[in-house]
Amino acid sequence: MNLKKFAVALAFSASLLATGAAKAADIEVTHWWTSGGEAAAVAEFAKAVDASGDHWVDGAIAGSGDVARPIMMSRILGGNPMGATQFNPGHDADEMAKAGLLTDLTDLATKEDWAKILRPKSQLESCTIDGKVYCVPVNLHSAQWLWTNRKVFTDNGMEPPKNINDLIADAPKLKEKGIQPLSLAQGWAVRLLANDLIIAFAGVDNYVKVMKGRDVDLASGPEFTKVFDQIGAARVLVDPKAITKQWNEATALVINGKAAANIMGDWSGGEFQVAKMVAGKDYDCLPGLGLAPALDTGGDVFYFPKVNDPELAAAQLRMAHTLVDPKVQVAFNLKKGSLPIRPDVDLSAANDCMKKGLEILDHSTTTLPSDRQMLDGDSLTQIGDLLTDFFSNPDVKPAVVQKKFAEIIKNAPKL
Amino acid sequence: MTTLDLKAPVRRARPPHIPAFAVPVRYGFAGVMALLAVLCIAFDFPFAQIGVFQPMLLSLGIVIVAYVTDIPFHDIRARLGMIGFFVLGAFSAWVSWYSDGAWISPDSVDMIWKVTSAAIIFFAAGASVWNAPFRNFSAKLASVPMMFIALFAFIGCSLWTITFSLSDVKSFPIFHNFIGLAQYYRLFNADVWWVACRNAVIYLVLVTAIEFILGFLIAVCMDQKIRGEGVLRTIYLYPFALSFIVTGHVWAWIMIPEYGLEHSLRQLGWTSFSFDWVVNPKLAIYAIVIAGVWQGTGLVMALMLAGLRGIDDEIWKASRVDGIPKWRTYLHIVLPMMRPVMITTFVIVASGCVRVYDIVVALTDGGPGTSTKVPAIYVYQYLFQGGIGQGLAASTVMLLTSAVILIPWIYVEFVKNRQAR
Repeated sequence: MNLKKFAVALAFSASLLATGAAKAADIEVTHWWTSGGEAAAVAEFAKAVDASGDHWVDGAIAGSGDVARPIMMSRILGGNPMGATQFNPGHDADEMAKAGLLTDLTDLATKEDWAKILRPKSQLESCTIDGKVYCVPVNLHSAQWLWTNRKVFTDNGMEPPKNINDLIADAPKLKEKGIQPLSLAQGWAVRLLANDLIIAFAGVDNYVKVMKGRDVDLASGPEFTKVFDQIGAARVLVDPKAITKQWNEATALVINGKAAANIMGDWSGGEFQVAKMVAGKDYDCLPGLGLAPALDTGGDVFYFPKVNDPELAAAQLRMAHTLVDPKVQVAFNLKKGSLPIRPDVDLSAANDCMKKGLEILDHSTTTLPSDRQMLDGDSLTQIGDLLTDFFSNPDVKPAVVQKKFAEIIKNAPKL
Repeated sequence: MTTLDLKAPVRRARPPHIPAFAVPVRYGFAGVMALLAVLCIAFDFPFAQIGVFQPMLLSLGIVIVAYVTDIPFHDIRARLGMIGFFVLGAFSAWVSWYSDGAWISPDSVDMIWKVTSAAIIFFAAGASVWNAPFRNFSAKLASVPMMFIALFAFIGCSLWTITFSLSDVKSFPIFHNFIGLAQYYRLFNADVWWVACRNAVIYLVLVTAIEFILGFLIAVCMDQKIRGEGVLRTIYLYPFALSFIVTGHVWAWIMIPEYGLEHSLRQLGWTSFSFDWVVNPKLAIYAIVIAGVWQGTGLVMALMLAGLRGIDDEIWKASRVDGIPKWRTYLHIVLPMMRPVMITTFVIVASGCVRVYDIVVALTDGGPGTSTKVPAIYVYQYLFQGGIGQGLAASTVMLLTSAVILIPWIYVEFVKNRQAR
């Protein structure tokens, strides 16, 4: 008995010694990746961090980024920082970096030459504030996808649409058959849809000119009048009675054939995969709604708040290094359904839609930054409200929306 | 009726049988105060983020010290001095902001605040030597938490909100630029805000009216000494035990035409049945009213029932002797006698309506479109998506609106009545 106790104590102290020798640290990581696929993906990161000798303490925050972001920010602000946190690239964190609350990763970035190995450039640029790198991009997500169920069209003697205009043309026929032309979820999904329509109808260049270049003349000019008219016309696609509460319910309507199409980000692809559907055969994915083949390069990044413990600070840098590791990138992104941030990785296991995305990413000359990288959250919320109202209320006139849109662009602060 | 004489002097001199505190206690207190003052000057607060609020916190602390020590409220010179210090500090801070630190640097503003605070603390410390703070000491000490909550949580945070609503603060609560009323100008030009206000008014008026009428009627029915009252009361109160989120989701399942009531009745063969309020932009807010009424009526009923039970039996006997019909007794005698219960219930229900948020989020999430946005959703949306200034401006307007409604009522209910007595 005594001997057993002694052995336990010995083993315990040995384990203490072992961890002490490796100078490992517990890193608390907060993120909002809680759905099935997301959790599987984040487990890959946890495995990699644990393998590097440190210990990943999971701090998942349920709910969307809208819920998690304020919690993360208030923790960093309130002097109770986590070891690392997932975030979206954009200007939300600028002020935190400027206030000196985030760890500067510039040395690591120059040592590993992130500027060369990571693509697209805009991703690292949005992590760079006043010439210093403050975050690690880990994946790329794009929101400009039109998902169609091919069977719905072929069963009813129609050609599956090649772009959003085809879908608008097919809408009356689909409605006759009792099929919703386009399924839609409430809330931010409407915002995403309206935004995608602007990109598709206006073209990437004009969109960036307005959102990033703040070209008010263009936004209030005839070209955008046409864009808003087209969006107004596209309102017939949606049956207001059938708007679902969650984005995946809207995707499910397409999967089971009750709706013909859905506009959503690449994360929808996971749902099709779970339903055992094959891209190109059972369903189509059309980047840029088939009109403007460019994808925005939103995605996720990790920030490392400044901490007092030097061991934890060292562990943060080790973790940053791990996150961009090619092997970790592949394992993570295959599960997440997103695109890796470095081109030099093996993605033979990727599905057709992911390959389409990679193709555009590698060969497109037009880059489309995500909206959070071009405008501040305040203005985006205003635009979101405006477009949501426009799309949900058939009484709203396109001309009025255009005028208000131009006004928001005009008043948006320079970034 | 018992009468509570509110005019009686609250402040009383120390009764002779309570001895003064011993000299070491008094001087010890003075010493602690002096130390506090020195610390205030020598060091910053340990949380740097507070920044411009340091002076505000300090002055709150001073008010508490002044209250405990009792001095400034006794002596008109001390009172004027305190106000003077405060005005001086506020004015210097304003000049510093206005001139962008050119005329008075932020550091000197800091110093002015610290010196004035220290002066008052020293004053209090000196007074404590004369034993003034210890008049009625335990009562004052006991009320310090209340003072602190009132001053910091209510007044302090409201001031914080108003101050920041005058700035261009975006996603990070640090005061950068004073931009006057620009946030309010934008707010009052935002269509969504007016939609939200209209919805709040509809919700407030309908929910309050329906809950009062239904709640009172149910309470009257329950008051007929019926069998199984306990069970019924539990059933009526049950919805109130559910959170707004649960209520919202349950009613969403019932009301969404795709799989709710409309769907099931159509399956049963009534194919022309239509109940699509929740997806109709013009009617969605009334769908929320239904859910809100379902949730809140039980509480109103319970409060009204308690009120009815509080009516003296003699009243009933008298009205029966006079041959007054029952409904008339309820309407003309009992109802007016229930005035205090009514007012309490109204305040509870109405304040719940003004801050209505979660039921809307669960039921429609402000949709379809923006048709069921309410002010609280507007505030939350901007507060946590990079437009703190705008969110705070909206919440200030909410606060002021409530105050405009409540203050006359408080005046009539408490001040006027007291004067009449």
